[in-house]
Amino acid sequence: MRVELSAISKTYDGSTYAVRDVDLTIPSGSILGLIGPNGAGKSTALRMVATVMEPTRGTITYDGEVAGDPTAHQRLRSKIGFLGDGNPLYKDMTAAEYLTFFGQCFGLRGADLQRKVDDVLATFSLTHKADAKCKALSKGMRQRLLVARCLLHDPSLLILDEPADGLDPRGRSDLRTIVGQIRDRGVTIIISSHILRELDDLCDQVAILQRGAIVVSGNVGDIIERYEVSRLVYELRILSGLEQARAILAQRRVLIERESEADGLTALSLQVQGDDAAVADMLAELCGAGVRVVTCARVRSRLEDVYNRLSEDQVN
Amino acid sequence: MPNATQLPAKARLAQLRDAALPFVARTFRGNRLRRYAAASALLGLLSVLVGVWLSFGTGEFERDMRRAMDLEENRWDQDRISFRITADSALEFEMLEDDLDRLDRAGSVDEYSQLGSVRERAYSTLYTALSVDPPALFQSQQDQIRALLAEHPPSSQIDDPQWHYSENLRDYQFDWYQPSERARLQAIIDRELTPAVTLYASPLNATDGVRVTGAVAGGLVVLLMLIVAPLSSGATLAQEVHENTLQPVLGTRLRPADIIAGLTLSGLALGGLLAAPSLLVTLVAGLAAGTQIQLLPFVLLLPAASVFTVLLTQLVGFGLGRRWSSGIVATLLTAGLCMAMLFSVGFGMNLEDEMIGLVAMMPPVGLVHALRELFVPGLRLGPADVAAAMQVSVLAVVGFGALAGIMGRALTRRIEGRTQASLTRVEGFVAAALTLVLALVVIPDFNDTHAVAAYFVSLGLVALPWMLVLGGRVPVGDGPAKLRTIPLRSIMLELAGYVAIHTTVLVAIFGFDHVPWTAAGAFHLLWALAVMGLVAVRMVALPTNIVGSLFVMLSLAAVCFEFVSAGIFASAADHTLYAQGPVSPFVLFEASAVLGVIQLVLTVIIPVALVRALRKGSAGLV
Repeated sequence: MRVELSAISKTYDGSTYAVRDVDLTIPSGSILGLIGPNGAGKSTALRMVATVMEPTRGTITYDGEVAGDPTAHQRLRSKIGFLGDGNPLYKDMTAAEYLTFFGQCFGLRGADLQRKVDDVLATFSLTHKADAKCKALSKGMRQRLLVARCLLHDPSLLILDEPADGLDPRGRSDLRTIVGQIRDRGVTIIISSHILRELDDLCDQVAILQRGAIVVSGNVGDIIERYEVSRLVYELRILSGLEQARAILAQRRVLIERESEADGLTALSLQVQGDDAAVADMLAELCGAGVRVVTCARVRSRLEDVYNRLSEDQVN
Repeated sequence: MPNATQLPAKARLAQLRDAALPFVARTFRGNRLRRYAAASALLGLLSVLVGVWLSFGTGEFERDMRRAMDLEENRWDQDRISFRITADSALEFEMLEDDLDRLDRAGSVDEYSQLGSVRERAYSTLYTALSVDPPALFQSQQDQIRALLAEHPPSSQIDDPQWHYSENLRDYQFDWYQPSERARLQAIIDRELTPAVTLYASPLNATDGVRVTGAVAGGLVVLLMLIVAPLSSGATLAQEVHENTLQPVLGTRLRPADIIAGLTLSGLALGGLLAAPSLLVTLVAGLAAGTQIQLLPFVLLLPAASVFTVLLTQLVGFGLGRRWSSGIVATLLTAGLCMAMLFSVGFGMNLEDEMIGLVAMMPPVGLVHALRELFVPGLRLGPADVAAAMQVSVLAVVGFGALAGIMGRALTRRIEGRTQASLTRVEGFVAAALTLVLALVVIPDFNDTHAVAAYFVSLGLVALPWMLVLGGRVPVGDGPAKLRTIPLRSIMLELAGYVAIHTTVLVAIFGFDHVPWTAAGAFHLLWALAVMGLVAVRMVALPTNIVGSLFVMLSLAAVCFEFVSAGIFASAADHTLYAQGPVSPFVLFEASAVLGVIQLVLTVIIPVALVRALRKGSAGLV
């Protein structure tokens, strides 16, 4: 589903705008990452796209169809899966009962409903927990169940507001995999998160929202290029050879952001100019010079740098 | 998809079924359906068992219940008139039989035994009957007494005639003109001073038993439909609001109206399932042994009252659920519903002909009343009043059905979460007019009612519903109150419109000549109505705190006081009432100057403070 937001604005009091003049085009089958600090207007914008909130101004079109009256909203909601911010569960329902309830709310009935419930339970690895009460599920399982609920009716647009909130690293990784699988089905996905490194590899498009307005949007690669964020941030942990390492890094114009101790090792936070090949060369030279390298891991994404750059520019 | 209002009836029914399915299925998920069905069958069985127990049980409680339902006479009176002793247990019966044997053998019995006491009273009756000259018709009975006393002279001090004429018993009089007294006397003569001894048994026959069973089952149906069903819906919505689980449901293809319909039907389905066997028992008992025509108001009022109460509790649940957890809300709702039910039972069981109009404003009272008319023949109204009750019941069904619809619309707008008023202007006027009609029906015969009383009573009855309607006209939403503009002028003009309609209707009924015009009365009435409107707006538009709540309570107390003051001035101005009116326009000056000044100050301060609070707490007043 292709979604177009045209000059969307939302005010609750007639003067202060939670979202102001947002223009966005989300191509069918793509993933849009919506980034912004708390209170930037992400949830308001997503609610409007999900048709559960009416914009004060502007129009949203879905495959060319304008979401106008409540009747159109009802029709569109059959094609939209929406996971809102802080979505709670019915604690005393089992996972299967929860999904059945929402399936019925989307008009699914009988064998079709049962098949869909079984499908999403299997997709989200929750089949073994079908009869477990929601309150007995782990945080990660609950989050998976919430996302599963959004997919019951085979939506062509999936809107996920902070889906990784509260998930452990494993849960986040699973979520990324699942979102990737959903994208492969041709579903358009809008996802908001403040954990940027989860989005940069996943999203085709990104929009950064500050104080209700879009400050930058477009293809992830284009944005990174546009903002000249060619540096990579790594954490290097060494057992010995700190002085040699400092010398080599200075010679290679690698900026050491911070030095610290971690688990008995020396940890260096590095800004490396260039691409992954530059990092590989640097590591080879360090090892060749006798620096005993234990680990080297990327700790910050390029998207995060874009965001920081924008913040440095006093946008936020 | 076409709008619900444009759909044909069949399609609308299908839409309702689609809306109800998720919520009803959720209520009966897992093995709940089986559990509820079992509980339902058990309740049906229990209603029959309790009915049979109350009909034929011999315990004190069952007897009291039968006497309360006017199905059994007082046993003391029965025993006294029939000159018998009724034993409550087999053991007591055996002991009395032993005493009778002893009396038969020895000719006397222990004076402190039950038998001795009853015989003593019998002698007393005989002697006092002898002491009063009977009418000529009963002269032979006095001869029979003399013969009996000659045959069975008193054998102890207790049986000494002089003892019976002692000071202690002199006040006992015999009334030859009382049929019950003569019946007792004849029984004593016939049984030759030896009382009959019987083991207690319920005097009810099988038909009475069916009636009692029907009444018990009907009572259970009313409890389930007017307490359990509303509680289920109200607490569920409170939980949805409190835990924010409504938000994902609003994101589905269900419209807000569908969600409210679904929640309403799920509560009704639960109550209906639990009540089904008991309802069947009620209907069968009503057809078999009751006043069949009274099934009609019961059957009509039951769904209307249930739907109305379910929607009302949802409205309360929605309002309270934002602040309190569903457990607290459920407790409050239970307390409120039980109190309303106690009130309804009290009124419904004792509803006299002149108060039959109360059914129009309180359908639960009508339900209890219909059950009484169905199953309690002793308390039945006359045919003319039955017809009036029927008309009022039908009016209540129509009125409360329409009010339930308006409440449903208000709830739909509330759960949408948009900044808007819960009711449109037209809906507000319709609701105000409906409550006015129902309030006017409550007033007994207009020919016997004074214009001033009719005006103030009807206005008092509609005050609370009108406050709710005015509250529904205040825009609310998810945003803070400080950011909302309150259309105060428009709301107050609407209130003026309601009052104008009310006054016009009353003037049309009683005639212009019967209206007592008084400037002081009009001032107090307008003040009370204006402050009532401001309080209604204040309660909905602004968040509450302790000081604010106290001020609202003070304002409401002042409204009541000024309302009564207006009534006093109006009564005084009506020359037909010959009532003495206050000299001062502020009645508390009559009591003391200090109180008068306080009244004067509050008259100024309260409306000013309310308007200021509304202005300060909102984005502005228009």
